Amino acid sequence: MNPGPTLEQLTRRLMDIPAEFREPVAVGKADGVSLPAVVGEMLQHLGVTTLPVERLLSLHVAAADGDRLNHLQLVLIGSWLLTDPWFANRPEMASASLEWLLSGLKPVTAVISADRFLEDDDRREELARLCLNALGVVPAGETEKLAHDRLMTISTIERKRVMEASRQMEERARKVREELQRKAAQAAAAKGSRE
Amino acid sequence: MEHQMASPMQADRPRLEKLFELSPTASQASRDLIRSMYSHVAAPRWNHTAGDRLQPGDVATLHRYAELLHERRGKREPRPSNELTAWVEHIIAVTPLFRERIPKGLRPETHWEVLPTSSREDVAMRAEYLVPDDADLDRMIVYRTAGTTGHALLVPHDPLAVACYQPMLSFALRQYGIEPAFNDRQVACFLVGSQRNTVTYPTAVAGWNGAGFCKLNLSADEWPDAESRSEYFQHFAPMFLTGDPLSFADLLEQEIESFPRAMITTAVALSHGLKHRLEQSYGCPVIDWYSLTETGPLGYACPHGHGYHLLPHDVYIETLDSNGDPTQGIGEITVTGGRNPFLPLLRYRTGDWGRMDYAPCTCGDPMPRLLDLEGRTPVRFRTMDGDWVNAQDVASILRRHPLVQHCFEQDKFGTCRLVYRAIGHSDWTRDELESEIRLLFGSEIELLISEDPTLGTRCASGKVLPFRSDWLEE
Repeated sequence: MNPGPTLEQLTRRLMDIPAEFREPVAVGKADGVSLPAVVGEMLQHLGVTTLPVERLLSLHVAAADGDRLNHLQLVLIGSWLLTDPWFANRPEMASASLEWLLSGLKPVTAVISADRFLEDDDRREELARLCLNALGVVPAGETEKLAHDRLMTISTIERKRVMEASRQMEERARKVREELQRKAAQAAAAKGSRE
Repeated sequence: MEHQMASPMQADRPRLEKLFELSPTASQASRDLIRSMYSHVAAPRWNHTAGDRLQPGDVATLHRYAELLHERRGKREPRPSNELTAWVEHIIAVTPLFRERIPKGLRPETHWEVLPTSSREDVAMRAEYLVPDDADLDRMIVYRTAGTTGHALLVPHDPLAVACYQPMLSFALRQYGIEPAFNDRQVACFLVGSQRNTVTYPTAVAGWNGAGFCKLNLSADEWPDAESRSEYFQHFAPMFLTGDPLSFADLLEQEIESFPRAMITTAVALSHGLKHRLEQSYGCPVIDWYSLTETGPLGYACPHGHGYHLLPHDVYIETLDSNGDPTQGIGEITVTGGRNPFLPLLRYRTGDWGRMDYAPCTCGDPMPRLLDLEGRTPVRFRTMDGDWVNAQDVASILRRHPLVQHCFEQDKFGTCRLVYRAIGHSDWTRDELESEIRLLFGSEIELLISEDPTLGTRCASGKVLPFRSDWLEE
């Protein structure tokens, strides 16, 4: 993986996010920030000359709430991040950037509010790392392994996955424990020799 | 074989049906054999039901295992094979305890010697985390054992893995020139015990083509009369006997007539004197056998007397010194592999010691040998009246209580001392344990019981001698 910007550069950018990037996105006929316009500007910043209009228009939805609305708010924040000067004139990253905004961010928006990616140091770092990882670059000064390890350490999804795996493991262990006790009281199988 | 039948009153129909149920693949001839072993006038008072529990699909796998025992024999290298390290990699991924204990990135093929070991303490304290995620609990069976280190274990097992004992026993018989051509009209084996209390049952097993198998207790009060034991042994004429030195010694003492073609002795060390006497009296080879509940059979005594040949093809044995490093010399016997889907063995420290020899052997078996095996010394105790008490009887009492590890000793004056380490969170009182031991030894016995929460933790191996007696045997 090639080096990208420093992590500090991106987290600083998230701290300095302008107020209009925190406003509600437009949904249906309600007022709000136009996501197709913001994302289109972001792509132009990356050097894209022909915009994928159909995909951009899909960001203006007739109705949204809950996870869907949270995702759209995070697309707005992600667009701000991707208009960092480091991404300027890198059209080769446009496709991955759009994919990250439209699909890659969905899992985290199911478990964490978009605002928290601005308010919390760890979440700012997580969003910056998720962005660089999606674009196939590592933070400047980090190796690929270090970048991966740090992302795994800070990742909300990973933490949730670990907690879920741990819950499942304990549930299985409880079941095995019960079966061990129950079957210890039953007949085992005939064994040909002593031990 | 013509079988003498008992009166209808003696036949316990529900229990007999249960015996059939536990041997689902038994042929009609096998069922007839079970019925006759069960109902014979000289039969003991059976107290248990068991069978091989094999399903039809298992039988072909079992026969294939028997073939592999022969096909896969060959010279071994003192390092794990690629096949084994690939298996270990999979086992680490699916077994909670290993997944947690082994850091990501530690690869079995390149970091074998630093892979963490496992032990009886793991089985005693956290067996539930040793059962792989994908193991089908419906098939699981459980054995209780105290083992050589005094740990009380619940060992999860699988009927097919247990049935693999049968081809391994057959293999050992062949190495002594005995061709085990079994069928479902003959009795293959009596497993002989000599304890106050032990489970007894007759069955027939698919691994020996449906031949009969009985687990028996020589204890006189289990039999109809004084002559019954010899009558039963003679009538069913088992092709070979399995047991331990104490039960075979009892067989001699009781002058029970039997004509086995071999005696296979397990569990505890066999003295040369007893081996010689058994061979003289029964006119057959006495084969020493090394097996643990957690690992299954590991070795059989070389017919040329050169240690114990590694028996199963699907385990890797290494020996570790007291620092846990592999050694060419005497070390703790440590096992990886096996066929128990509920207890995959990864560098499993057995608590037994010996050394591996990879040099060719004159007997022709190319598999490596365990030498200088520190076998377990047979132990028995005495009541104040002078009656013998088998350590297994004490073990079966201790197993019923939530103990992790124990050490039971009797000094030369007859005083018994039990030191135990209990499972931390269990709620129990030891009054019941004490009264059960007093019932076994008689109320006059001097009995001292104490708890030691650090028992087994003061040495690297965790080895504690579970039973010791200073009674002088006459």
